[in-house]
Amino acid sequence: MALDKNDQGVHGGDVRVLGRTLSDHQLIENVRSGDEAAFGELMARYKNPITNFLYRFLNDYEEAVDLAQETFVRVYFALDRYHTNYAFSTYIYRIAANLAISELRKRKRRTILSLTGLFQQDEADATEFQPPDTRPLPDRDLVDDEQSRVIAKAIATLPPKYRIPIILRDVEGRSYEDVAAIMDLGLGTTKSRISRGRGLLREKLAGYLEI
Amino acid sequence: MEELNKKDEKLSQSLGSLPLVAAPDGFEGAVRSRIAERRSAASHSRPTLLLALKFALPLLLLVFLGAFLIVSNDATDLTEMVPPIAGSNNEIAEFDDEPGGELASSTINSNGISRPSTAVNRNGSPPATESPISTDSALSQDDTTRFPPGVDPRNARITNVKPPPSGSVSPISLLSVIGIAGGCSPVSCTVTAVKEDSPAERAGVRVGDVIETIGDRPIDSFRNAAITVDRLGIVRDGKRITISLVVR
Repeated sequence: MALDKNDQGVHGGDVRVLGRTLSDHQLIENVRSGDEAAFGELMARYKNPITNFLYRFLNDYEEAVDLAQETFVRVYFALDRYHTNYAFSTYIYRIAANLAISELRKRKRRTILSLTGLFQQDEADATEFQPPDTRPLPDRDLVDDEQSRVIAKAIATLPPKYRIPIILRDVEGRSYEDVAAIMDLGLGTTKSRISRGRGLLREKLAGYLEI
Repeated sequence: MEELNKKDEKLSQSLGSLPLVAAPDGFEGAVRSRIAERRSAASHSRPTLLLALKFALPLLLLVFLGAFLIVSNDATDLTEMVPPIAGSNNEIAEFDDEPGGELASSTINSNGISRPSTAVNRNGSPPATESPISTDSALSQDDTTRFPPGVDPRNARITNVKPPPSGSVSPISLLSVIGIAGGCSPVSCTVTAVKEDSPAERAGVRVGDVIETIGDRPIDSFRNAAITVDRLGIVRDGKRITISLVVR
């Protein structure tokens, strides 16, 4: 399930098919012309980044995969309406982000409607505010796993408007311009949200990371 | 500020060190089967929609057209037969079969049901060439259509008014037949106009007269009663007088 950073797929890049390189837009044109294999290429490029983005957003792998598949289905049926003025990566991330936000809203409704959950403490919140375990750990990997888990949960507790830019910028390493385009915000607003999101994360992770 | 930037940098490094998660095997196949499902669902729903458009819509249109034609026919009949006159009911006049030459009028209610309600004397006069009973305030020139050809309503006398069982005859409707227009309160009608050469004018009815009775009936008794309109009880200059309608 985990990937090396370099294996996460082609990020808006090009693919060499039969000796020539096809851009995202060329692939889309081919899909529009009925070339189903071209859609397979698009999926190969974006399935890992989109799944990773959704996983970091929802902190739930099954749901992340489900929404990633739904994202591609939506893209497929909306390709006729897609304008090539925008980068395809921006377009597909925006669809994924919207689906993720809808999923969060559904969760919220489910929580409100769930009578059994009335007195249950949210697991994420409970973990987040547990005091850090200061005992020495024998294995560095275990420490890293624990740290990753805590960071992931802290990200998942951020409000969506900070969570999306933090994931795109700090987890996925996208440029501020890309993040602004995906969120359909100005560059200043995007930077401000990232800064604010980092501040919130620092507060949440103060016990775990020396920041 | 510098310290904050360092903290941000360190946090970014921590976030960037999170392992990347990959899509599971069979991801593409799952997407393709979802696409196929959606296509299938769309192709199944399309014929249903087409069927609905193909049959249900014309059927609905036909029903609406039929209903419209029925309603418009009824409306046409009413328009042709019943000019608007003051009062709650519209009256039309027609002959009955009695040899005495009585002109019966009918009341048409809102459902289009016609019932006989009034009998008016006929005198066999030549057809009217002008509106016999219309007044400025209550009647229009089209009121001649209320009488069949060959009848001069100037000579008409209203007898045996039979109001509809469920309602009352509008006094102003009755008065308009003999050439009087005016406004009615629950107990009386004030004359605002008298048609020239009408039975009312010939009988001496004047503008300003307050009519309290029609025939033997007070204005407020036009309910479930048969009424003969051959005289009017009037208050004029503070005096109560009775005017008999002259039949010629």
